[in-house]
Order: sequence, then C-alpha cells, then structure tokens
Amino acid sequence: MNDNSEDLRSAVHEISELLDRHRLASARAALERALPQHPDDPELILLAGWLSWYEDDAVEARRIVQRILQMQPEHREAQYLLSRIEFGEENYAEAERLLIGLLKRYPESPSLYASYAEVMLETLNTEKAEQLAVEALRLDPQNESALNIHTLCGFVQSGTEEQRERLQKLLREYPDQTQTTIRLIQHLSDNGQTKEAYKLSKELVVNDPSNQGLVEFATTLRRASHWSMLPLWPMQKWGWAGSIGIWVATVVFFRVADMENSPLQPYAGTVAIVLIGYVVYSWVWPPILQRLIR
Amino acid sequence: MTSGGMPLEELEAALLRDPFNTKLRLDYAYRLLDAGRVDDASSQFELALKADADSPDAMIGLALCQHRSGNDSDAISTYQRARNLSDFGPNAELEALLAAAQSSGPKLSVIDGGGSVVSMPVAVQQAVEFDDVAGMADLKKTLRLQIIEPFRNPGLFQRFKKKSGGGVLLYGPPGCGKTLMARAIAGECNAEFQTVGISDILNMWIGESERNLAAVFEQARSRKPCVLFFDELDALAYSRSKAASSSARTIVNEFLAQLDGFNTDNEGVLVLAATNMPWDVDSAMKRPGRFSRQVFVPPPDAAARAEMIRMHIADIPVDDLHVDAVAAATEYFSGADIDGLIDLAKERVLADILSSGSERALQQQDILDALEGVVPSTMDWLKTARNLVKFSGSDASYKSVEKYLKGIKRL
Amino acid sequence: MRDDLLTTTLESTEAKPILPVGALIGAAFFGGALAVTIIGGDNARRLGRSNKDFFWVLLGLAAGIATLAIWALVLEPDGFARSNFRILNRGVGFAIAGLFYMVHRFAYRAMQMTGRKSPSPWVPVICAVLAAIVLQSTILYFFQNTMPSL
Repeated sequence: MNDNSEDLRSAVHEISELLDRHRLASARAALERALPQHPDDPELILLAGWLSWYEDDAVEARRIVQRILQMQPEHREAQYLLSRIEFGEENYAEAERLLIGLLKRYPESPSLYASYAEVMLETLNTEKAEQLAVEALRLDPQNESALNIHTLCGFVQSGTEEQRERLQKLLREYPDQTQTTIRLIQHLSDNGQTKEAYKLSKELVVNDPSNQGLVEFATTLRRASHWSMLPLWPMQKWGWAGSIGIWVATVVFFRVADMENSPLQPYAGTVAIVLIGYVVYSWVWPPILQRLIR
Repeated sequence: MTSGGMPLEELEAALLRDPFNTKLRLDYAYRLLDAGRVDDASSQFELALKADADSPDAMIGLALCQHRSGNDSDAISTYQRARNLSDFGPNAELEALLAAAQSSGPKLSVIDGGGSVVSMPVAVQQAVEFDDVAGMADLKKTLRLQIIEPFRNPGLFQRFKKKSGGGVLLYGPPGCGKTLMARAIAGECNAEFQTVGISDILNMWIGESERNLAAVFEQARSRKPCVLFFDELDALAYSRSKAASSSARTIVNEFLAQLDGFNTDNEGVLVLAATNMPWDVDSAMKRPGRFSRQVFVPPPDAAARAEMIRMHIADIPVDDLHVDAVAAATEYFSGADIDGLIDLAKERVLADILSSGSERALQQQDILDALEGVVPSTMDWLKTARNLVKFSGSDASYKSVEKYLKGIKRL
Repeated sequence: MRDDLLTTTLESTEAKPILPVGALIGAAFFGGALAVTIIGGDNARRLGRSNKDFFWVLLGLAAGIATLAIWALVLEPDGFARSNFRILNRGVGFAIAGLFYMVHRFAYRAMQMTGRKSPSPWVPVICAVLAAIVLQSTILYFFQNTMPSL
C-alpha cells in the first residue's frame, strides 16, 4: 500500500470516528485537510455529505451525494444517504423508491429493512412497518435499529402484552441506549406512571442537554407530574374521555338539580362557580406551568 | 491600475482613491511587509481577505506576517489554508517553516509485544503560570486548593485525610481558556506539560488506537513530574451509550483501564482533561479515582476581560477608551469573542480612515458600535448548561455551574 | 427476500398526518354528530383510506340524521326544550368521535410514537361545524315541514 492511499484511509477513519462522536467541527477541520489531497475520492466526499446532513444542511448534502452518484450511480452508501435526505425532507415516496432499489440489490441487509420500516411508520403504514421490522429481525435478531422500530410498532398496534415483551427484549439487548430509554419512558407514560417517566427523562436530558426535543419531552412530563396538576387527574389519566366524563357528570348534576324539590338545588350555584373555575384552571394553568418549568 | 515601483505614499493615496482595488492593496501590504511594518501589513492583508476570502496571495501574506511576528502555529494553519486554494503558488519561506514543523518535535518509541516500534508524536509546550492568565481569581484559588497544592504537598493532604488522587476535568464554554488554564496548572506544579488530542490517538488499524493511548500514559510515567492533558476529552472518551461504532467503546475501555492502573502509580503525574461537553464524556470516566474532580471554567470575569482588552490595544493608537467600561459591556464574552470584537472595531476604524482620508485612533465608541452585532458565543453553552442544571437534580457534578447561573440570574 | 414487501406503497396514496383527537371532540361539542363525521371523513381522506372507511362515515351520517329525526319527529313534538337537542346531539357526537378514534387509533399512536405533528385543527373544525349547522337546519326543516310527527 502506498503512502497516499494509507493517508486517505487514515483520514477516512478519523473523520468517520469524529462523525460517530458528533464532533462536527473537528470532522470539518479534518475534511478540510484531507479533501484537497484526495478531491475525487467518493468515500471522503460521502463523509462530507454526512457532515452536511448532520449540520442540517440538506441542500449541500444533496449536492454532494449527487456528485458521487454522477461518478458512481450505484454507490450504495450514497444512495442510502440520499434516502435519509429524502426522508428528512418528507419526500417519503422518493425515500421508499431508493430503499426498495437498495433492498433489491442487498436483500440481506437488516438495517435497510429497518430504515424502510421507519419510512412506513412515519407515513402511518403501520402494518407494513411491522412486517418490515419482523423481516429485519429475522435477518439479524440483535439489530439495534430493527429492534427499536419493532418495539415502536408494538407500541402502535397493541399497547398490551406484546408491547411489554418487545420492550423487554430491547432493554435486554441495548439497556443503555438513548432510544431504549425513550421507549421505556413512552411505556411508563402510557401506563400513567408519569413520575417514573419523568425521572428517566431527567437522565436523558442530563446525558444530552442540548437536545431540545428531549428537554421539551422532559418538561411535559415534569408538568404532568407536578402537584398542581392533581386536580386535573381525570384528564391526565383518560385524556379526552376524562373531559367527556366530566361533561356528562355536569349535565346529569344540573338536570337533577333542575328537578322540582331536588335536594341538589341549593348546591347548584356553588357547583356552577366551582365548575367554571375548574374549566378555566384546566385551560389556563397547564400552559402557564409548562412555561414556568421551561 | 498597476502600482509598479510607486513609493508607499503614492500607493496610500491611490488606495484612498480606489479603496476596493484588492490588487493595489496587496501590493501595498507586501511593500509594508518588506519595510518591516508587520502589523500594518497584517491589517492590510486582512482587509484584502475580507474583500476576497479566496485570495491565496492575501492568505500567504497574512501567514508571512504571523510567521514574522513569532506566531508560527497560526502561520502554518493560514498557509495550509492558502495551499488549498486555486492559483496558489508556493512561498519558499513558509514552505521551509512547514517542513520544519512536520519534522520537528520529540518522538517516543514504544516497543509493542511483537517487537515493532510505535512512534508517538508528543506536544511539549513552554511553561505558563497563573500570572500569565488574566483575572479569574476565584477559579485560580479553587484550582490551587483542589489541584496544585495536593500535587505539590501530598503529605499535608494525607495528614488531613483529604483525598487528592485521580484526574481533574475542566469544563465550560468554548474559548474561555481551559487549555491555557491547564498549561498554567502545569507551570504552577513545575511539571512538564504533555497535551494529547484525539488525532494523536485515533488509528485505523484495529487495536492501534488503544496502544497509542497506552503509549501516551507510559510516556507520562517516564517524564515525572508531568501533567498529562487530554484536550476535548468528550471526543476521546465519548459516552459508550451514545457511540455507534465499537472502536469508540474500546478506546473508552482502554482509557478506563489506563486510569485505574495509573492510579497505583500516579505520584508525580497529574492527569488533566478539558471538555466543552461534559455530558458527552462517558459516565464511568467521572467515577472516583478517574476524573472525579470536575472544575467549571466560566466565561472570563470582568477583570480578565479588562486585561485581555488591554493586551489587545497595547500597541495600537487608542484614544478616549475606558477599558473597564468596555469590559463591563462584554459580559459573557469568551476570550475568542473579545479577540473578534477588537478586530471588528479595528476594521471599522481602518475603513473609516480609508474612506475619510484622515487617520485617527481607536475609540471606545468603535468597540461599542462593533458590539452591537456580536452575540457572545458562550450563550448557547450557557443555555444548554441551564437545561443540565434544571434536570440534574441532586447531582453534585454541576453545582458550580448552578451557582454561576444563579449568580448571573440565568436560572 | 420477501418480494411482497418490496412493492411501493407511497406512490399512489401517501398518508398525511391526521387532525388531532381534539378536533374530533371540538367538532362533536360545537357541531354535533354531523360535524364530527365530517372530521372523521377528512381524517380517512388524509390517510388515503376513504374507501376503507366509507362504511364508518356512512354510519356517522346515519347516526346524525337519526338524531335529527328523533328530535324533530318524537322529542320536540312531545315538548322537550331546545337545550335538550344540543345535549343529545353532543352525546351522539361524542360517541361517533370515540368510534373514529378507535378506527384511526393506529395513526394517532404512530404519530405519537414518531413525534409527527398534527396539522392545526382550527380551520377544519370551524368549517365542519358551519357545514354541520347548515346541514342540520336543512334536515330539520325537511323533517318538520314535510314529515308528520310520530
């Protein structure tokens, strides 16, 4: 192997490692050093594409990928990155077309099946997402992204025993991964264990405080588990069904109170005032609390 | 317009008439450089680069200025940027500097199990002490008590049953002097300062990165007293729960093994690390005996900022400038932000001089005007730190950040 | 390789995010059974499954019309106050909202899990409520003026 190609491999390795660690500025600096020496190397150019993608510059990432595909139209990784760009830009049909093309050429790739399942889940084709996740796991029962998508599909379709089993498997295989923790929080939250869910979400934020999505997630859970939200328990527990229940109870109460010689009649005024206060509280307080917590 | 052999005065007059003529400006800058007016030339090259950021001649000129004012590392980096530009023509003086830099520096040879030789470049830097670091009196006091004195007087600390072993992690917003502070700690400890970056460790061959890391530790042991400093620890010891690649995990495992093994033989060696993102550092690294002592390096305080501003304006014409007032107006600014701010103010003055034709000094108002468009780069970090503190609960690791944020009413 | 999985799904019918559950409840509360059916039908269209959910839309419409018929032909002639109609219509509306929630639960859950955002419900709900009011008035007029009370 000559020095030049060793340099190139070394640079590719270093940049890949930096990208894996999300050290984007360092990766850019390393790319700026390496690219002028190897301006036409597709691997290096592809890393520039991934870097732009991580930096939320989809336009530049697309331009770079297209440059690689002009040189090598069948370049697997470039096509995969393009599918991620299309997915991120919500061009789902195009992302699907690319992933099907890749899967026809690489039918044994569980990660490609998992990516396709992700597109299906995002576009609400949950049955197909489930089938694709199962296929990915048939090829590699330990594949992390396949397990994650499979667990998500379980959450969508069942919400009961199957959901729990899938989550347990994910927890067994990848106990310390962020995605696993997020699934666990969703599960706890589903089961009304808001306090536990909040506790876990705090850990997530401490691990990645710059992730605004996680901060919002934890803030919502913190709000839900705040003592001042206790009066709104029926709505927290049953959602809209809780609101409808309160409405039905109100209608029944006032109908009975309206009857002649009803024993509830003396309380009707007080109940009406309390009820109006409760409705106003349920509308006004949660957003105020969310803001205070944030 | 060609400047030919025009005298400097005539070139200046021509530039006043045609201030956007980059070629003329470059000619003028090179003539200033030839005349030994390095600072003036540097300003002219920077102005030329503002007009045309891809001008290799301007970049080479700037690199020459940096080289001649003794700032070789910047000169090399600027020259390397110039080399990447089209129409680049090599400069003999800078080529020689680059060649010397690539071949210089001590090398450590570590014999591996199979008898082959691993060559480790080592960055050894000149001594800096606390007096060389502007302001930050509180932080210096903390560092002296927590790091320097335990290192210099281990017996005293042992008598008081005060634990002093393990590494120290300096964390805080970028550009606020963590690396400089680490060098100053080494200086105060009268120890050699050995700095390690991720590029020194990463290697494409399986197992080689771990061996590089082991070699670095071995080298530190052989150079006692020594401060072993890991810059950007978050990249090197990236949290295993976040890393996708297995190599990131194996490096952390090796790091932990080295720190633990190192613990038994740590006399005379201090392991320091710096990071802007302590939350990305593997949690196992922060356990007792490893980097259990974590010190927050906040943005420079007013005294530090004032000192930095004084240093920046020391050799330039200044008029009606109250350093303390400017320092007060630059709260949360990092050292790098202050560099940028003063540069921006200087550019404004130069542009003013060039357009009006009459020379004047840098004034306080120039800096305050420049300040309007500048947002301190530490703000993003502080916002992130706020999330960290709000959700970390009883975790003591970030108490000093919490105290700082409360102090500046950001929490 | 499962060839059946590698056929395109999205080219003809790409599912769009559906209106939030609050849209169903809001339409039921302010517009009654017909308004909530309009929202449910709109959600089916967004999911690209209008044909599949046609029966449920039809059922919603039938329930809405039956409510109006019962009111116009049975309850009103018996002297029930107008406020009772609102309660009845709301109650049936909530039941239909529950029905559409169950039919589209998979989509609500998938959106919740993937973090996909629903579009704003305000304009569709206001339109559905206004359309339902017009429809209701027309149907009630028809029942009250052309049909004999029972």
